[in-house]
Amino acid sequence: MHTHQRDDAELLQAVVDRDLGALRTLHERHAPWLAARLRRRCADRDLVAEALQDTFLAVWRSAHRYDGSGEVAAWIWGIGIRQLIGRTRKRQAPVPFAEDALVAALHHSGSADALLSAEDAALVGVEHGDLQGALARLSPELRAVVQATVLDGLTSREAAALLGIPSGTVKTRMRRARIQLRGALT
Amino acid sequence: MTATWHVPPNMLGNYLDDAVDQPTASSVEAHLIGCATCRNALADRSDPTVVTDSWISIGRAIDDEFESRVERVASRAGVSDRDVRTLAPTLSLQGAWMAATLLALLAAALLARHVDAPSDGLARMLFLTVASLAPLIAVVTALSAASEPAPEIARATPASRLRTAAVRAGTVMVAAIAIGLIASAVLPGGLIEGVAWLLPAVALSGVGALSAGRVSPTTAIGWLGCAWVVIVAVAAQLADDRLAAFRPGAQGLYLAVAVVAAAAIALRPDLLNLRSQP
Amino acid sequence: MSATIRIRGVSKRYRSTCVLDGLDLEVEPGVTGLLGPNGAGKTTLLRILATVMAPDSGTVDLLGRDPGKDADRIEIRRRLGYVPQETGIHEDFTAFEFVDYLAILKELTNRQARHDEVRRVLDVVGLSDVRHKKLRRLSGGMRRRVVIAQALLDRPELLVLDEPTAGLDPEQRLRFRETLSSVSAGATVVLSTHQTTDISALCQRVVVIDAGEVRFDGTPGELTSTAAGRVWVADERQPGSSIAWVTGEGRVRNVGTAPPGAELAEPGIEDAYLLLVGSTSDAAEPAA
Repeated sequence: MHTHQRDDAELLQAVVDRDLGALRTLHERHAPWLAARLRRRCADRDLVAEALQDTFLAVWRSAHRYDGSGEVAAWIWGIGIRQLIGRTRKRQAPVPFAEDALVAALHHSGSADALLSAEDAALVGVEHGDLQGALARLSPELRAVVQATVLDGLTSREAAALLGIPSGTVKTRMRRARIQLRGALT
Repeated sequence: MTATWHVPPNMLGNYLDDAVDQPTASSVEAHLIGCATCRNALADRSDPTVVTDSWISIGRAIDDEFESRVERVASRAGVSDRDVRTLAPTLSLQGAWMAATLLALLAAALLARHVDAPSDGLARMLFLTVASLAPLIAVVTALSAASEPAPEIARATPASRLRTAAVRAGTVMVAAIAIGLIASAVLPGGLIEGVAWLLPAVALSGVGALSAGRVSPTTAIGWLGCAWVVIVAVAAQLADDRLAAFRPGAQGLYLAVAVVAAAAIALRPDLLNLRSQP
Repeated sequence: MSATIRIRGVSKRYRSTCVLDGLDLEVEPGVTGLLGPNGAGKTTLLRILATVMAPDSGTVDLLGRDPGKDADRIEIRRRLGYVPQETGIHEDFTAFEFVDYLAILKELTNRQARHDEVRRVLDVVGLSDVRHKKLRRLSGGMRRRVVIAQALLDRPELLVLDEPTAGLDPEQRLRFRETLSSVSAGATVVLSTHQTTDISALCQRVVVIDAGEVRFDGTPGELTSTAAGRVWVADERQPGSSIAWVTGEGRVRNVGTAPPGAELAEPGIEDAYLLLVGSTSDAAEPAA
């Protein structure tokens, strides 16, 4: 019956006004791809399901923090991946991290600009083509680090938590990956 | 992204089945962030029960949260979820004036500290008079229909009105007394000399509670408040002592009134006139 | 089927005004509609049925119990749903909080079960998506539906609804009919309304009350048929009609005593109602 399909930003605004229907629509639109993407980063289905629910709970509580710039999907992803990290850490050691993860997510809202160099920025735009080949030639460990930091937009500390390695290792691997990619692209 | 390119259906399927290499997966993910068309295509291919179940859990979790600050605070203080909801309207109704009363009492106490030279100054008299009235106002308001979110509907429910009233009046009475005690600590001479208002407050609240079901809250508070001010003033005049109404002799009288009122309420709760008709 | 409501000789006075005057009524499970002019005593009768008011005299029996006795009254209230006419409600509550609060008063103590029930009734009235909005931010029609939702908590056997459709727009009114027919199976529903269309659409039985007395008691069809032969159309207002108005087609519809040879029209429930109450209250003054 709705003649006007509300876009994601309008729905977030409605969520601020405590419109549960708007959250339901956002969930319908974004839960499937978010679940699929989180599943590729964590084999534990239950953990992914919990992170997915926490993500939309966080959207319900914090929709007012979306600043209106950038894709809503990117903003939701920023929350989602950090909820997953928070959950993973909780499993490993009972540290209440979900709240920190949420705050970090909101401060980073959907971008990893801090870590991005010019080459990395080109990578984010990658859809298909030569860059794929360059990525494919990286060793699995380096590729995982590139994915977590550049493509998923995590800090090296968060990437370390997700991958289960020290954050110093994330930084050195990222340096090595940069050098290899730069070599492949020039 | 002005994507004229979309993820081919078989690639989307392979992505969902975890059957693509890492670089391809990354391209798909980067594209999905900016392309609603492909997100929808992916949604159409995913298991719908995952989304349905996830939504049910999210709805439950949201319903279980306390949305208002008042309720969150009360819940954290260990109040049961039923009483939290019963108290919420009363607390939101009374929170503002109680905060104002606390400020006024603190101001009077500071005044007594810095301006009143002797310990029986005007500011102390004012402080004690107002502090004895706060619990009265709190209790009478809590027992009035204004505290009931839906008076007519609530009357047709099996819940005990006495219990509801006791939860509400008891909580605000404790809160009003706590406010008075906090302010009393600032008074010169400290808590011991500062709590001379406590028994008059309990006596006034008891009488106020017994009148709440018979007259409107404004009438009850108005008359009792005026009577109290007159008692304090007349006693001060007669004894040539500003605090005459708060001296030990008078306290015995308040204790007696408080005990009688408390006994009346405990033994004959119907005197509160809360019971629904018929 | 046996009566779930039995009222004998019930009277109620406010100061010098007699609102109910020795009223007798028996109601069986199903939907019964109360029709009557303002001040006819409908609300007073419904408040007695909702146990929030006691009659001055007469006997009342609800679900086989006596609301005058404490224990019986509580038992009746456990099986009762009530939508009052005027609801001064605390608008700082969200829809969910409001219904949850009343569920607490209805002794649904287990939190999870209670929340499930609150979600169910809000879903029945179509308010799931706005349940976390504050009541003061909802439209009048939505607030009315919130009040209807709380009456459905715990599937009551006796539903007392005082003008439940007041403030609802036509679409919401249709949805309400759907809601009511889905919840009323086996229950005794008594509702008052000013909408004669509600009566014919919803009620198995209609009771017309005027000046504190029952003026008609039967099916909507029977009520309509009392106007047979007393409604006719003409080109202008006719003598003998107590009420007449110009219809959309530009002809005058007359209700009253038809003159011989009049062009009789199909009566509606509205015509019958007008004849019934018009003959006492309005007949004194000539219809405009």
